Amino acid sequence: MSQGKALEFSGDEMRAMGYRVIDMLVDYYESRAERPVAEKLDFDALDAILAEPLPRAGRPWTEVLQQFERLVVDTSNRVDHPRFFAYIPLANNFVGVLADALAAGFNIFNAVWLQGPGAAQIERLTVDWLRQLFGLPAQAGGAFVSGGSVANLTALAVAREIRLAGDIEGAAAYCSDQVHFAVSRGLRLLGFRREQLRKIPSDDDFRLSLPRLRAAIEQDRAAGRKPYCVIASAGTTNTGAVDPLDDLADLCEREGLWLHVDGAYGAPAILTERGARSLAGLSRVHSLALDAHKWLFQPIECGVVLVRDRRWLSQTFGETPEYLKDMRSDGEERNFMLQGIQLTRQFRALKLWMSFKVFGLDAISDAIAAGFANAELAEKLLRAAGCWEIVTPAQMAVVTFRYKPTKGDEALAEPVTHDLVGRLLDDGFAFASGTRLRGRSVLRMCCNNPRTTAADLENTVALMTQLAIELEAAHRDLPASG
Amino acid sequence: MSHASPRDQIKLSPEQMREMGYRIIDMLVDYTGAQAQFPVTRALDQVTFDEILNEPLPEAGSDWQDVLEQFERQVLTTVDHLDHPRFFAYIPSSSNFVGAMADALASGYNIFNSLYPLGTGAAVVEKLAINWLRQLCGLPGEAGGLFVSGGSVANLSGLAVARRIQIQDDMRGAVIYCSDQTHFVISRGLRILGFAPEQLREIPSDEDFRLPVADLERAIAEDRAAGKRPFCVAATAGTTNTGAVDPLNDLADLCEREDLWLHVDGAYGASACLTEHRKMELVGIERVHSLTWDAHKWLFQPVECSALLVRDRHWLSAAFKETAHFLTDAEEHSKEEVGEELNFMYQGIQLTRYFRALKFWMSLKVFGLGAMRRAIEQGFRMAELAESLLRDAGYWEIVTPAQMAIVTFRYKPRDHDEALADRVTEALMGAMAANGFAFASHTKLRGKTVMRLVTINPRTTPSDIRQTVLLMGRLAVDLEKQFTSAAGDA
Repeated sequence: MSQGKALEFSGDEMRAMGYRVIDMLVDYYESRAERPVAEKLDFDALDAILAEPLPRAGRPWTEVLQQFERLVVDTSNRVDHPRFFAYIPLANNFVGVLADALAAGFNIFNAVWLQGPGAAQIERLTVDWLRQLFGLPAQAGGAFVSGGSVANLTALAVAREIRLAGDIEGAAAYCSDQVHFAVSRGLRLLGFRREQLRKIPSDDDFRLSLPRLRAAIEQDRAAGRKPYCVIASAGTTNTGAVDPLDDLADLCEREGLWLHVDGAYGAPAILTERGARSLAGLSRVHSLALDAHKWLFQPIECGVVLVRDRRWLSQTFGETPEYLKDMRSDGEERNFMLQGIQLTRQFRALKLWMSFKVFGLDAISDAIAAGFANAELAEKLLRAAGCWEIVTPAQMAVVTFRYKPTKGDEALAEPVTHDLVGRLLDDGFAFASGTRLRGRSVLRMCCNNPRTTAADLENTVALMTQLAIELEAAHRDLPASG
Repeated sequence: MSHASPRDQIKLSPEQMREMGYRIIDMLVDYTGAQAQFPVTRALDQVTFDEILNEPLPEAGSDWQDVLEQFERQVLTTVDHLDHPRFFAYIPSSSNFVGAMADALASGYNIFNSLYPLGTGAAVVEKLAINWLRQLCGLPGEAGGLFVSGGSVANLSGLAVARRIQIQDDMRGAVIYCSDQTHFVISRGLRILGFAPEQLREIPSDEDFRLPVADLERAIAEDRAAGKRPFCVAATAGTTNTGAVDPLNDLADLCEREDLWLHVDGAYGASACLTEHRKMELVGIERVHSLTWDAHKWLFQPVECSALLVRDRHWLSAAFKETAHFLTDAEEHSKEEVGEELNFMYQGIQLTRYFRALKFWMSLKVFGLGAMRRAIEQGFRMAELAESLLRDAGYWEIVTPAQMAIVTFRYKPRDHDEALADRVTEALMGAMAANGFAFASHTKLRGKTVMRLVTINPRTTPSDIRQTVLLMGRLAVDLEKQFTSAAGDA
């Protein structure tokens, strides 16, 4: 190999490898819809892979790229595939990908203002664009983080600092039973005990129930505990439900509570008219978590945390060591290392900035609107198929449903719905995942990929129907299956 | 610009994708080839920065060429290049092209490395890469870990695991120990975890800026006598200030005797494990309970790339596992064949995770361990060369000799005026930034200002070091003249 001691390639080699990587990606983007959504797993190969010894000598990059394709690309489910409807699909965009390549290639360290003021300004600008979109006041601010988990953790750390001054004894936070586990894990990391997060049973529409919330707060106050924070969801992972944000903001105002919203999935819908209606009240939050790698079409990782007063971030995270003291003079606000849990930070804002610039907001808002329309079409197709019960209608591009056995044998609804996920994985044409709602298995289709076509939806519903009918027959034939 | 279809507005045509992609590769190749000719630091222009912030939300799109041009103008011409061969400040991040391409692939295929039924190969490659790191630092076979964003999160996660396993999350009266040279992310991490500031006891470091075991032992005894609950020592393998390595083996003995958790922040220094001889300085690292190791520092990866290793891989899910119904199907499919340790969303603080392990795996495969080892060893030699040149120059006091590729020093005025030495040393950083040929940063040690040279970039040549030392000498002498004549004028 020509690569020398300094881990370097010649310019020609770099160009050859770089062009090859671009070609691989372009081919992938062009052929994605024809490939299966899910790939078969070859578990026998795993042990052999894991036994690979440390590579003493280098290998040609062509060989390593091939191994990457075989080992990684060919065994990955395609979360950006137009017929991937499971969990939250992650439909990225090519401009965002190239922004990641630039950020990595130029190794931009976006943590300290003086070391990269242009990068810091672009992150501040992109945060401010989001602030404007959500209608937060001018003194609001934020930062890019890895994803919803860290965005929620960061916001909840700020709430703890600003509202409790670090004294968590007896403090109570509230959320619905539909809240994402990143919230409970985040609070646990922050040192709260599990019982300090009150999970309020959700209402019929899987939203945080105001009367129950009010009662719980009252009860806790009476018991001498310290209610301090309500954690609402703007688009739950299970059903896409949006908690009643405006009412919650009223309540929090009256009760002097912090309102944090986990909008990891749903918040970007604010760019559309219908989304903005569902998300009314979002401009009143104290803190907001969102993922640009979900419904703003960025490659992972691209999370954002926004807070109503940007100084809260450095109040919570500002610590400056001796060897960085000279950096402080320029204002903590500009130094992103003082505004969150990371010191060294990638330039994540670049991908959102660059895709906003190249495509424009209108195109992005159309792409989000396509998700709403797709979920409604899916719902309609499921209803028309006649053998599905719609459990929650299309909302925020998510529809949930359950098999309705043809001969009225209700006992079969559960096993058929439950087993269908595995059948879809085996088949590989399309993928939807399951969850449990009120103790029952349901299937979910999350339709936020703008590259999903009507034909994709028709074919997917037809496939699910066919597989479910086959499963029903199989279960019926099982001797003494009960 | 043209759009492929109305339903698909955020997509480029294949021709556009290829053209833009090739253009970016060309930019990177041109940059890498010419890097050493660029200045290390960039001039700041406040007006431009205010302009950037005033840009309105773009309703319509623009040509990608214009956006790339804006990126070059607003970002590339204003950032310090941490991968420049004469960037010696803070901790340089010298990166490598294969690692950068691995990031492009991870991003392009949008690989979600959180739940292995969604991407078995990626999960296995991460486990393999972790296993290689484990072998390199000598941790036992049952050890495990995961890749995280950087040292901050690795330390935070390691301390969260310590809290879970060692004291079952009961923080009352719990005490953690470190030296006064510990990186601030340890105290910030503990604060985030909900510890009060006084629960971290900073022991004054010894003459060599290491954690003194006898003083530590005394502090533990005092705390126990006062009814507190010592549970963890947070040691450092390669401090940011001086490269000092705490006495890991002695600390491991102490932690064994006292039943304490030993966490080591090796964000910077752990990479010396790859070397043949210098790894002796890290003896004891194989005995830790948890270890932070940044691959974006001395393993030459683009940011972000760090690893957390723990002595027993089951500890991670004990600390981070939560259940979620919307993921149960995937979990069911993952039960039989392989353990849950491949579901990385339960091994750390992130659910959605990008495939950070890929860059380390790919560059190690392409370059090989031998090349990586030689690159690290060169860093040691460059710092030793810098130290000897600084000594030869005659007007520098070596404050700490070259260790772990860091040397710290201070200007020595002819009349040994300490106040003047402080002023010159402190002003030197700004003078270097203004000059732009090379860049080093300063810190404070025992109240005195010192300059630091961190020489881990394998593309740094002996000539880079020589010219940098010459430049610093010239700038310092000028500064001294300036300060003494100003004093004389007054």
